[in-house]
Amino acid sequence: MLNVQSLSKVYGKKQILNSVTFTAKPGEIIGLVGENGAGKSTMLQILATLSQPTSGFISLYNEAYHKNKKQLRKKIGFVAQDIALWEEFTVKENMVFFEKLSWKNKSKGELRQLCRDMKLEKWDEAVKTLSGGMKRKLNLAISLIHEPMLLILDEPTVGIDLKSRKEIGSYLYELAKNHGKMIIYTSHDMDEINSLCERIYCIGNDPFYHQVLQDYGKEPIML
Amino acid sequence: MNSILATRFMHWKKQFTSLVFWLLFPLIATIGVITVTDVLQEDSKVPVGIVLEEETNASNELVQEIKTIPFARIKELSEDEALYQLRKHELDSVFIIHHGFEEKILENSRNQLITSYQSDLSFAYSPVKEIVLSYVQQEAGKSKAAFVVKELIQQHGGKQEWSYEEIVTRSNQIEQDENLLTTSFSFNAAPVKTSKDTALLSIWGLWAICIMLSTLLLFDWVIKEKQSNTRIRFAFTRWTLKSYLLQNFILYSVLFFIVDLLTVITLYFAFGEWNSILNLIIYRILISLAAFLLAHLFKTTFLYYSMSFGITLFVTISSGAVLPSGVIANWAWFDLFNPILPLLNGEFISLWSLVVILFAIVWLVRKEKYNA
Repeated sequence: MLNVQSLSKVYGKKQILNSVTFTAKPGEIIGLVGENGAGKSTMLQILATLSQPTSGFISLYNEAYHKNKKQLRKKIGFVAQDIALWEEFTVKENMVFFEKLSWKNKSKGELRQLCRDMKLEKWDEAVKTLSGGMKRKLNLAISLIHEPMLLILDEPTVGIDLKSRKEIGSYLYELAKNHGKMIIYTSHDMDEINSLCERIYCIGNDPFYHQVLQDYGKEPIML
Repeated sequence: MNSILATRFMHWKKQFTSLVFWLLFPLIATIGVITVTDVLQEDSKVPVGIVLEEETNASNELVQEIKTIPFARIKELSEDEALYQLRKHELDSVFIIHHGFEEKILENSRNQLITSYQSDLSFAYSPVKEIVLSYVQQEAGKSKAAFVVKELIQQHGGKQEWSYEEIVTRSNQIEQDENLLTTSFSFNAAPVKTSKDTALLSIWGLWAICIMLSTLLLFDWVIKEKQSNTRIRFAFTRWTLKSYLLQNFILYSVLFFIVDLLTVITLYFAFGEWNSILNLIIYRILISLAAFLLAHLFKTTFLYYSMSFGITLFVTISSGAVLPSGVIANWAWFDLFNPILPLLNGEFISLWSLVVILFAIVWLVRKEKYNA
């Protein structure tokens, strides 16, 4: 379980996050929406232990964030907005490369199955020849090698075709519902957020998002 | 470490050609440049003709002696051909060693042993003539000494029988052991060079320059991997980015050590040049460490490559390892930071090494940041 209490972040004189409080349970997919610069990525970076909050308390499965980051990171998978792959490597080489560095040892068969689950069949092709959708799938697959309990995704489907987007969405849904993963997800695609997430948090106090979420029949929760 | 090695091999496999090229570049460039300069040096030597009318030990030894003159290229030919080439100015001068040379030397007779010719354009005639004369004097002197020794043995009823050859051989041995005729000259307060190094370029100086360039260029992996989007993944792996970079630095150092060992052996067999392995290892580690730290300051490889060529050019000009150091003779302070000087002087500790180590410590204790 993820517990976020009174989380604030200040950059210089600018308050990015102001006393954010929420919880997430295993099997839940939480969506974060908001305009550019509202603090979504900052929030995700704090949750991924990559940035320090100015104040507040976070715990994951009762382990406080400020205590042992290394241990916590074993339970966290983070998919940044930018594709983090070795372009000249093949899909297989990328998977093996990060498996070698991972806390969990996996066979090539298991790694390949992980890609197949995501409908990523091109195992021996160089990443630079793959489509944007395929790259996004591989980007996500690598983040799952160490079997994290909390998966944090910063616009994982940006700039890809509808089919790949649906496939990634279905896979994330299956991960949450069948494997009990907690997923925190940002996107500007309201259809995607609406279809995937049980709860949607609106970062920043923008009435536009408030209205859009109400149009989708969702109760927006302001953070 | 095995995992890091496996991941490094994956990178090396992709960069195989460039990796092998830059690893072997210092060795190949050193051999290439030294060979070319040797050929140029040989071509710029003054051609001197030798005509041998007799093939005896003494005449052959004289020819060998003349061949050791660093600025002369000796051609053995017939008298007619030699004089023809001298007239055409293809030869600077001609020395004809006549019949009975050895016999006359043994008799301590110094007249009519050699006839020499020069043309109106000769400029190496005098020094070669002096060397020939001094050799003849020396051999004739030895011969005379041998006869005196034999006479003294007889006069004093010595029982030991010494042949002429034995006395001369013994005399040569004493001359070699005592090194009586070798004197090194140097400027006041300058270190005395005892080697008979006549090479135009310093092999280890040249090698050190090439190593500097190749090491700097090979460490572009630090920029490529540190500035890559994949750096964020290291927060969620067994190793931190710093630990990953450090372990890879060690792997590169091991690879360099193997290549350097190969280089030392090759240069020894190719040119008879030797340098302390420890000295080379220290030089290589310091250069690698400096390249590793320098690469951390850059975000793009283009700027780093430009800087690498710039630094190498500056050190080439200013270090005195390849070009004469008079170019920046007024910058005495640079010697303290000159990375090549400790290698060439056989020193282990210098201000340069201390600075590199200090920066390495600062890098090690600095906190790591991941920015998504």
